[in-house]
Amino acid sequence: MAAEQHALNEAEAKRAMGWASYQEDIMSRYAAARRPTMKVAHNSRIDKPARMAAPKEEPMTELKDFVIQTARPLPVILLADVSGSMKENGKIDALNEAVANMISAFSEEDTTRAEIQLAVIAFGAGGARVHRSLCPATSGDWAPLTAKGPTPLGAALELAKNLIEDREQIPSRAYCPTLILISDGHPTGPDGKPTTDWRSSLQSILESERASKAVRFAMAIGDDADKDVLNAFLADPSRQVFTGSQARQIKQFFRWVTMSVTARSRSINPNTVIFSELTDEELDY
Amino acid sequence: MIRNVNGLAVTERGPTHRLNGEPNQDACLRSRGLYGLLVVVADGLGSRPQSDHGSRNACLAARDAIRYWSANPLSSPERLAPLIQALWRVRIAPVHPDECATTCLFALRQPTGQWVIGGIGDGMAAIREDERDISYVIGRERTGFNNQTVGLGASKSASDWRFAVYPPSPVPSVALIATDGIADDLIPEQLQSFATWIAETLDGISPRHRSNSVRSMLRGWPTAKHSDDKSIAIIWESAQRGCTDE
Repeated sequence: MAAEQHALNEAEAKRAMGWASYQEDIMSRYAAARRPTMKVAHNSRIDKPARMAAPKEEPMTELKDFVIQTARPLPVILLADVSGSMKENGKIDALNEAVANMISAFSEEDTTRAEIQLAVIAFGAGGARVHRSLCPATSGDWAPLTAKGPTPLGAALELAKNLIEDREQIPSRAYCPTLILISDGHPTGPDGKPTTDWRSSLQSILESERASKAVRFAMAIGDDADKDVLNAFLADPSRQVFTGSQARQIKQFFRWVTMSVTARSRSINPNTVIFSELTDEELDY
Repeated sequence: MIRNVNGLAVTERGPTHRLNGEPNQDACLRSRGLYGLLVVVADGLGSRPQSDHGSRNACLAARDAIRYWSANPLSSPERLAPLIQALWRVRIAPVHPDECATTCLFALRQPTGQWVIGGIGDGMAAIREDERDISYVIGRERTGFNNQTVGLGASKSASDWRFAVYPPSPVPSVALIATDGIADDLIPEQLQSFATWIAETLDGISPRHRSNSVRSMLRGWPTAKHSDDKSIAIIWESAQRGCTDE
């Protein structure tokens, strides 16, 4: 049926373009998908059934010299608040456990169409620093974070932007990165005083060519967390900041993010962002 | 020097679509006419429900546009953009362009020896004019990430199109176009060698077996976890030793 339709289309095209002398073949779903045993015939305008024996020539074997053999990366970048207040109520321990579980879940994904990579940027005492360089989730052990000092969010956002804009670390063949911000406090400068410098850093992310395309998740830890900061980070009124004050809710949040990332990595187009419904039933464990 | 001009266009459904029994969303075309030798590849945007319909008709629309455009040697290649767009819209009707958006890249080797290369969307369109260098028209470095592109039905700006004209070269040239399923996995620094290698390899294969050889190459694509549909088209010049047009 498909072949007939294909032939009809070609015949119609030939009639319409009768003045031109041409030879062509066209392959599409009709040839390649529905009739895998057929090939485009030599000098033919329509596909004909294959009637020749298998080609005598060996398949090209040097291709790997020209092709990147590693899977396309799906980067996940975690911006983790490790300020002093994260020490309260076991929050930093819950964060460490949740990240370790997330890495473990990423590592166990064997049906992915992409290689999930994880970087962790911690911001606290001493400013913002790369706690875990961007590398496959399967490699390296998780070194727990410790909480101390102020909340230099602006510096962390700068680091994240530089990482995403770095084509050496995140090449253009990578799928859209995921950016996760988890914070319990109000942004401060290195001296611990409240600051608004994070706004310019965030703006540079939202205006940058690549970083603005990142899929963003945010969690506010504690009822007194500045949600305006996290909402500004999401920059999407239809999305909500996940809020929690207990260690259990931190784990829930990371489970939700893990589900979203692994669902993306398994989908036909890993750039399709999947925000699964947040319900207690799904998240409770 | 008299040269043979050879062309080949091959598309192969990706592992994901094969596994799910879904159609190839890529399409490709090779066509020879008064305008010269033309190859086209199109990659239907995966998020659109009828992208296979869009990509197939993009190839045909590009061919039709080239045919009319070539009738006037003085018309600039930029004139092709609205022409391809309009002919594509006619061909896809009644399907809405949003539902079948697609990229469209082409390379034309005119009878004069001049090359016209261009298109819209991601993937790769490049020409090797001498033994040492390769020029990208599309695809050296995209601004965003994988699978984020403009295309027919997904662009309203003429600036999304790219065109380039190359005069006849003193040495045999090779033009290479590919959808992102291939282009994103090629090592950029090796592209010149790849173009030479594939042209020489195809030259050494009998014309009737070339498509199958390339198709097996695409099936055995060496990138881990590759899943995209793949299309590649090539036009290469070689010293004449009888007609080898396929």
